[in-house]
Amino acid sequence: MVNKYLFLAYAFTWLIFILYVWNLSRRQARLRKELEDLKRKISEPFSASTSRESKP
Amino acid sequence: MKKKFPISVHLALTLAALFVALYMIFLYAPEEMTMGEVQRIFYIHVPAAWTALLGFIIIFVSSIVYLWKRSQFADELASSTAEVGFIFCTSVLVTGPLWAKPAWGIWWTWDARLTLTFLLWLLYVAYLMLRNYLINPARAANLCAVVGVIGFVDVIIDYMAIRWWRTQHPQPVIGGGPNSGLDPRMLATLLVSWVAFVFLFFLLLRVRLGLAQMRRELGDIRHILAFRASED
Amino acid sequence: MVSLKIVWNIFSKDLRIEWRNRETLASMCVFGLLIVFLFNFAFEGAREETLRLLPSVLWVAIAFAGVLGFNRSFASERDNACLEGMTLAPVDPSLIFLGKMLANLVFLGVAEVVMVFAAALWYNISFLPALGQLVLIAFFGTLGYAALGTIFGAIAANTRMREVMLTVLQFPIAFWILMLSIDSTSGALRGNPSGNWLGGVARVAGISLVFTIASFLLFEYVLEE
Repeated sequence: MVNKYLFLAYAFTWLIFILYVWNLSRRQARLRKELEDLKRKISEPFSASTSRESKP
Repeated sequence: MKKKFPISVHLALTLAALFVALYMIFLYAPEEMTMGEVQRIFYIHVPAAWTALLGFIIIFVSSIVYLWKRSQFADELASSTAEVGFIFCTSVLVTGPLWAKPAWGIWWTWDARLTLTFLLWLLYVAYLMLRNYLINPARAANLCAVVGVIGFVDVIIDYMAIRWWRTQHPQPVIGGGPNSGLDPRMLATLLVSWVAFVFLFFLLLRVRLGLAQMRRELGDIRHILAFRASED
Repeated sequence: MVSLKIVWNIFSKDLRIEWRNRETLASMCVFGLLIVFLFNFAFEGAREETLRLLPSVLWVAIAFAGVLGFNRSFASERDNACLEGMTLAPVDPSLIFLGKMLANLVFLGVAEVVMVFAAALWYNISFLPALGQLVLIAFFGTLGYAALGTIFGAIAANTRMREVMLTVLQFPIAFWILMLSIDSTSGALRGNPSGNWLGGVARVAGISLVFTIASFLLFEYVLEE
């Protein structure tokens, strides 16, 4: 039988780090998505997009 | 640096070090006489505390470098370190009471090291809150660097003041610490565990730094786009 | 000479503004008095007990009243866009820091006199036997506290929720100034049982000077764009 304090200490430490890694990966995914969006915007024909906006 | 030491190798090394550390903690290190197996919390508690302190030293150095050289990398390093260091400091504060309760019979006591750790944690919180609440991004790096330097001055003062404070009162017995009474196998386990923590610290730091750099690049691209849009 | 004049100008400007509306000083004094008053009722007890608790009560009151004042010190500058003016002024930012810090020091000092007077009256304790020592402790403790409050007030003026931000920055870093001031104040009130009265004052002074010099040196980066 493992001591409950020992178990809790290790469990909490692992939990903290796993939650942080999960948080990091979510932020990374969000940034990556933003970057993709922007890249698509840039690769669109530049003058076409602006002219579309200026002549509704 | 990235080419010489790719992140996949770093990850593999970290996992290997963590496994070796876990093996040594639970199977190699001898059982402590008075505290029993609860003492094995020591091998994550103390290395995490050292790493949290190392984190603030990095914040201090990169804050100085930022104020001196205006290097954007130094600013990103400081902000990323603050976040990762905060995680380590939190795990120190969580494991501390869980060890203190069975060993001393109380969850918390305001002895020297506990007070120090708690103040360090508050400093991390203050630094991160400042990062998040700043309005003017142009000033953010400067203001955070100033707090990083004064915060480190505070850490040094903590170390001196804790000796002056309540000197006439009886000090609670401090358990742990790598004193001469430590079994060599325990010391080896502690050091291996610390190496594993340092690997983990720098791995998380690299990932977090990558995020910061990505965010900066995104900001640059937005800037260019806005500039282009304003041109016609 | 010119630099002294700049410090004096900023210092006297803050004092003059305060003299016109008396808002900061009034709120600091009332807030401090309320804390001293509330603790008086919370701790009704024997005299020995009061002697033990009074220094903590007083320094907690000083700490909170101080934060109230430091917040206003730079909030008013920011609201009137004077912070930009200060940034652009062809003046050494360290001199601005000194002027603002001295003004904060005077405000907090006045509030302290009021609080200590009230505490002496309500708690029925005489501060006179150790007055010189207490003045020294109060001066150095307040100096370091005001220096940190001035630089953090300027930093917090750049944030959302600046009241919270100032408190979060100020308390962990000013922690030892307060703790050592409480320690040596209680030593002084009990007639220095450890026999070495200078040691307590020297510690408070040492820590306060370190923080004052650090804030003085770093302030230029706070105003820089």
